[in-house]
Amino acid sequence: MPAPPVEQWRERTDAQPLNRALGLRAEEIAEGFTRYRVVRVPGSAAGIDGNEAPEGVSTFAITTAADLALVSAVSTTVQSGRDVMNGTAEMNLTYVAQPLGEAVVTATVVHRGALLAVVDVRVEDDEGAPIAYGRGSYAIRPADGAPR
Amino acid sequence: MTALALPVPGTPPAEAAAFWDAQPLFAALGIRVEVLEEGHAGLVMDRNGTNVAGVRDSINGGALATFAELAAHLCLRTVIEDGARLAGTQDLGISYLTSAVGERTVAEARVLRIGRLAVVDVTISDGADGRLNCRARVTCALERDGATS
Repeated sequence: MPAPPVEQWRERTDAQPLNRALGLRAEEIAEGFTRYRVVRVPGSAAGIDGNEAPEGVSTFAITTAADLALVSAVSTTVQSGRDVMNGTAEMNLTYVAQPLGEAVVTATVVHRGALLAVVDVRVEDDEGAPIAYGRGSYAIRPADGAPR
Repeated sequence: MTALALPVPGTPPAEAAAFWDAQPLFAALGIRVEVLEEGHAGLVMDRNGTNVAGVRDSINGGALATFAELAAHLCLRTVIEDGARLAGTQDLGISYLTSAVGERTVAEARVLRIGRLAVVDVTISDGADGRLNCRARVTCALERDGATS
């Protein structure tokens, strides 16, 4: 499905209970691309992930944000009547720094095959310094009746 | 009421489980601790209105990845030696094998290696029929005496 109107997408995404619980905020969506921000939610994971930075968001929230970002990036490449979203197949995240504040998660579809999409995931701080690098694979299946 | 302290090796399992179950993140995601023993943690995620947001009415994939990461952290906290500190996740990899559609989803985490980097294997399966939903491996940094040595 093509990228939805941004404001409508932000409102719908931010209202999801999972995203509210973890501090995930939708920022941008375009063909093959999404960006989210992870903000600190009081009491969500303070200190229990090993990160001693008092304002740092937790890796637990970033993990969910990475999957959210890659799924929604893939969704912009799916055509109704031709493809059906079929679930994340693999995801990997490697941290190179601890988050000291909020985190910005971007996902870019780098390959879109008939049955699999590959997505590059980047996690950065507000200055663009890298926090983590990731990659995800997402499964797609033909819609019922659609030619293979 | 005295605030529960972050569990360390030697914390009685019931006390450690009470600490984790009281965390807002655990409550939001419907996660409870069932087993905590040396090198092993068993957690349960009960299906709720927050974690069900995946394809085909399944548990959300991101929530499952976070579930695996949490299980790994709790597992490591049962074995960290005196003077060492869990300093955060370094790497997380997860393969999604089948949709998690059960009322209860179980994560079993077991330590594979303890060193400067600690590695944990996590299996996530259906609580009723044992069907394997995901397999993950989580690597965490361990800090000793103020340095990631």
